[in-house]
Amino acid sequence: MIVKTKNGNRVLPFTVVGTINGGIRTTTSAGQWAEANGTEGFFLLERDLLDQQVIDINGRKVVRVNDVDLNVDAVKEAQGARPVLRVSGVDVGARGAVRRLLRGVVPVAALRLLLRKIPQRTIPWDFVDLIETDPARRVKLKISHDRLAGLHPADIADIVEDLAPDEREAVFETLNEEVAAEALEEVAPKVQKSIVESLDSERAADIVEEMDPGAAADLLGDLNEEHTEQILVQMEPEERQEVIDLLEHKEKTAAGRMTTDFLALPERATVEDAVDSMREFEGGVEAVSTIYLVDGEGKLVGEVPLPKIALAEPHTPMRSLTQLPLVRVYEDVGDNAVAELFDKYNLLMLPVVDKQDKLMGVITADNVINMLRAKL
Amino acid sequence: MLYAMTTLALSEVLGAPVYDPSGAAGGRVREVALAPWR
Repeated sequence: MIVKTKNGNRVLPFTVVGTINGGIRTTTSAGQWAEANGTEGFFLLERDLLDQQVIDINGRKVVRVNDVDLNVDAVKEAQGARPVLRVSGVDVGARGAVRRLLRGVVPVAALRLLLRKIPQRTIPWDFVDLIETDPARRVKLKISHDRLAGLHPADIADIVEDLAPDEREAVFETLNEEVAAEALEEVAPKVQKSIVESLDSERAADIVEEMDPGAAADLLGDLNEEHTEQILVQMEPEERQEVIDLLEHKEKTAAGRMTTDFLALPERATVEDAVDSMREFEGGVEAVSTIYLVDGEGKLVGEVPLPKIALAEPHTPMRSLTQLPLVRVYEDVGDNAVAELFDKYNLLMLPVVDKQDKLMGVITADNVINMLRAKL
Repeated sequence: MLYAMTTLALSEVLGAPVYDPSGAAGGRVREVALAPWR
């Protein structure tokens, strides 16, 4: 505890606290308490937690801390029991706010009666993720977002959208690239842009590299040219080229909507080959619902849905499992026609081909849903 | 008594008077530091 004494602020270790009951009784005198020289390295509950936004991992949302619940435990020692104060949770409801507002204004007994009538809204400390915008303090206080990273990317995205810009940056600085990329794909385009603009180009490139190429191209296409180039320069050559190719397509066309993360095999491939390719595939799960077959020139010749592969023997030729009609779309076809095809054929994926029928990429159902939602 | 209590609110601790063994007021709680972190 930091105690304000007539000789300045002192650090009162909890080991010398005897009791807490209408005041704190210590076992040593104020002269023996060390001077509080700077509090930068400490995590102070009033300064760093009270009234701050934290992430409720269990509720998957951002909440403001109105008060902090402290548990008083007794630790038995040779000399007797000693009190220990632990943070048990944060109060994010009206009870904490009312308690602070009326403290010292209303008699203690009346306040307690009133507080009993207000429902408690407490988040256990184990489900609290702190947001620290100062990178140095983040390191010093070992603040990470390991638990946040365990949430679904869409939930992370919702949480991030509720944060202030500097807090968003703090979260994206801390998440590992893969998680950050998946979450970034789910964030609204405007927020996505502001996050990437707040990161240095090296960090932004690390995250963009892990994104689905189509989503990465959409994002970079929204940034100004100079910033896009700064990020592209920092990217690995293969991923960079993929994104550059996609950036050349018009946004509201099939090619502008497609991703180049998909599975295509030679037409002579077997089910065993298909399974092997799935094992090595690093793209999203939404892009493995269908595996495409191409001829020697890269022309689309067939498609096999995942259930058929799962049910077939390993040596079955993929060609024998193809389904008809082979629905595909040309690269320059507009959004509406793409949506109509998904609707008409109940598609999960739609291959995009050029004028020579060469397979260029795929559009996944989640992209179409995003596209339609943007039009609502 | 302290040991009979289970929870306290931070807002109740902040500003609480601190007494030394002789019962003299030594100061008031200004902050509570969390250490070690987690």
